[in-house]
Amino acid sequence: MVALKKDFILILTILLLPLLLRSSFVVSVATIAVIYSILSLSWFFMEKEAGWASLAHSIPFGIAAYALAINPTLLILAFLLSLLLFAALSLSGREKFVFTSFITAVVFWYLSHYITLSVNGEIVGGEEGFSFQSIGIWESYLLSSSMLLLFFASFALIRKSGLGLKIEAVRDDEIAARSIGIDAFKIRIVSFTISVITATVAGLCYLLYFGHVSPEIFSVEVALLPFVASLIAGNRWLSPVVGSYTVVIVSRAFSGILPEAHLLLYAAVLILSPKLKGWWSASVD
Amino acid sequence: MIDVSKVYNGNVVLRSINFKLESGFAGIYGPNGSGKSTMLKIIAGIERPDCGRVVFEGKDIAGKAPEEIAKMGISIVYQIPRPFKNMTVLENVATPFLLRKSYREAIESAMEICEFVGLRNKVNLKAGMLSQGELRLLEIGRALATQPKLMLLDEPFSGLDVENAKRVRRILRKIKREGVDAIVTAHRMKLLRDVVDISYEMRGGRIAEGR
Repeated sequence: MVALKKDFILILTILLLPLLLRSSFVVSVATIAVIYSILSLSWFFMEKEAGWASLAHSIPFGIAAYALAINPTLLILAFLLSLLLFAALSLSGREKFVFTSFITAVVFWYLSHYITLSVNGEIVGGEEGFSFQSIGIWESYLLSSSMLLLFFASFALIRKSGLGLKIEAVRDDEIAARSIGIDAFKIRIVSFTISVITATVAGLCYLLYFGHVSPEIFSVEVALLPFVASLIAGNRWLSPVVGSYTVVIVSRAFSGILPEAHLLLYAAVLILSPKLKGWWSASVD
Repeated sequence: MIDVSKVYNGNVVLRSINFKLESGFAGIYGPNGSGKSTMLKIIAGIERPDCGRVVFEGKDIAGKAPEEIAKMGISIVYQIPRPFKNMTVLENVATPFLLRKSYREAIESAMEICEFVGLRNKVNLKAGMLSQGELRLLEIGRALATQPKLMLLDEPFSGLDVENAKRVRRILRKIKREGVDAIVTAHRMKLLRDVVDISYEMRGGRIAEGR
């Protein structure tokens, strides 16, 4: 609990810095980092707390943004579709989930190029995506920062609650958990719901900030981002936030000379992942 | 159990088992592969019987989900302990209570159970750090936290040194005094002596007469 409080204070400090600097550029970069942090946190909850490593968090993230851009009334449907998809994929078991989820994410990315609508006789969508009324940079930053803090605090509370213990029990040993009366499938759906809600909110923040959504949101880069972000900074609840900030800052810092710098970072992190895991475990011990 | 049979990959593990426990502690002993563990797993809902009925308090529970059976009052202690290894001892024992109690009440009740099984001074340790004997005590504690009417203990003495086996024996006697019924399995009958009221020999998937 002490470590979580420290992490919370660190996140609060990271979030307050751009407000003190009062630079629009810094705030715009920070907003993107915060949105990806929420996405990574949703992934981290499902992976670390519930034990389901997904490579498809781009789906609830992207579907939510698309639904809001096309018709806000579709949001609940979008959320249910993501949840149903995760639940269906989980039927193949934990080991296969990481692969089936990744394949599904790629399929969604491909299909998203064909999402079109006819508006006043004009075809919109497809490669170009959809537009939506964005909110200002500062408003976006405050909104997404508040969401990040809210979810971080909620996850900390869940972990120290009865629900958190049940989720951990199912993660550690599903058969043993069922033998003491826990409905493992119900708990799995509850943990997916929490994770999908978080990713959905990240998708909404994304659309409100950019005012535009295109198939890029379903790209493999976005699908891999939470995984890579969590590898960068270890196995703490702060890790997805630090990792997302690192990816966004590296990407921005080199955007002029090397637009795909973040892909190099991905590659480096994935290649070094066994070493990184070793380092982080050693630092925890 | 009425006429319960189970076949794995063509091997008959249980052959029309008929077994009745009125109350108290029943022991089942027999060599490896005689079907003891399969029998307990079928009662606990971990395995499904190929045929036959398992009747508990007048209801056929054969094929029911383990969580449903646990809620009816049957809990199992596995031969190879299955702790929630990333949780503390206290959290392991508190988890079953959470189905009926608030978090705080669950923790309080779990503390009493830890005291009962002799793990009071280990409550804040991660389960993954416990010795084999302590893991067995933790498993028993966690099973007790489901507030069972019937406990299924699969070889509770296996892999334990003399001292830990004595501890487990002592705790089983305490559980018996609390009025919980149990089925306890072991390799040899002498391991069950002074713990069970009646022993049955199991061999080749069949149960012999009790003594």
